[in-house]
Amino acid sequence: MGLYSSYYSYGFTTFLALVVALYLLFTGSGEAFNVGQFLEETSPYAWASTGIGLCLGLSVLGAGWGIFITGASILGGGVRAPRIRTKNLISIIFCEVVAIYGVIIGIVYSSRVSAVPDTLLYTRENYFTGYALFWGGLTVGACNLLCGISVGIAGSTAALADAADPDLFVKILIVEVFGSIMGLFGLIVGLLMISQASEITPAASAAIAS
Amino acid sequence: MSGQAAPGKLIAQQAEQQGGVLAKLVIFALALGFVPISSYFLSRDYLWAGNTIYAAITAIISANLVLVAYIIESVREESRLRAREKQQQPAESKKDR
Repeated sequence: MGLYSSYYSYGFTTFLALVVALYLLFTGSGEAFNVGQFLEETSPYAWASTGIGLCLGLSVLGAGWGIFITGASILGGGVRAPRIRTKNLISIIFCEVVAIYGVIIGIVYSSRVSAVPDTLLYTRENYFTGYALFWGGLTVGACNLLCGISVGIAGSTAALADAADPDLFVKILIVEVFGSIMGLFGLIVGLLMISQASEITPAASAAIAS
Repeated sequence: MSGQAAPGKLIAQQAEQQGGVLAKLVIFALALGFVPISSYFLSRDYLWAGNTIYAAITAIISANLVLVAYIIESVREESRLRAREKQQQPAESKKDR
């Protein structure tokens, strides 16, 4: 059962999707698969809100993951070597900084979203703002997720190494600094993407830009 | 269980003289949340005349400053603890004699 369970789960889902696609194709609704229509009809608000949510959600996921990995190691190592308790909280603070990056970008992005009536919404600039917010948020979120995990695992090993030999901690701190810089890279790219995007504004005239 | 913790407890009794580790962590964690966001809004309104990119960069720099301050404070406390341990050790060896 364990050997084939992934075949069953992925195979069944693929089979269902294939049946639905072929049904649409053979009953004359093949034009339902219209990528251009999907991109044009989806509201920029949907893209923007999803991007902001992913940015903050993935950043906090990375920070929380790093903190629980590091925290477990500090608690375990602190039983025999209580002197590691104070210094190793630095690793926890490194992980929390990652979450703060996500919050700052979330605040900057949400300032670009403003209320516009539906008939005036679909302009070229607003489309761009929606896409930029979505992909920028995904970039920042994914970078912070992996940064948080890497700082967490490095911090957990730093705690255990510090418990064995106090001189190792400063060297492993350099590794954590390098891991934390990765979150900064994602932040810079996220800010670059948003610098070109204007706030969501209503269309200037009644004729909507196509 | 207590057999494993006994050597740790002996050392911990000396370390607990300082105390306040939890308070310091809580203060810095709150500062890490409060300082960047407040610096973002204040710098955006009063420093950069509405430019959100410069305000975000200011917030990031302030978050990193809080982080560096915590590291410096932690290393200083560690060296203080070690200096105090070294002071206590010659006194105990005199007592043994």
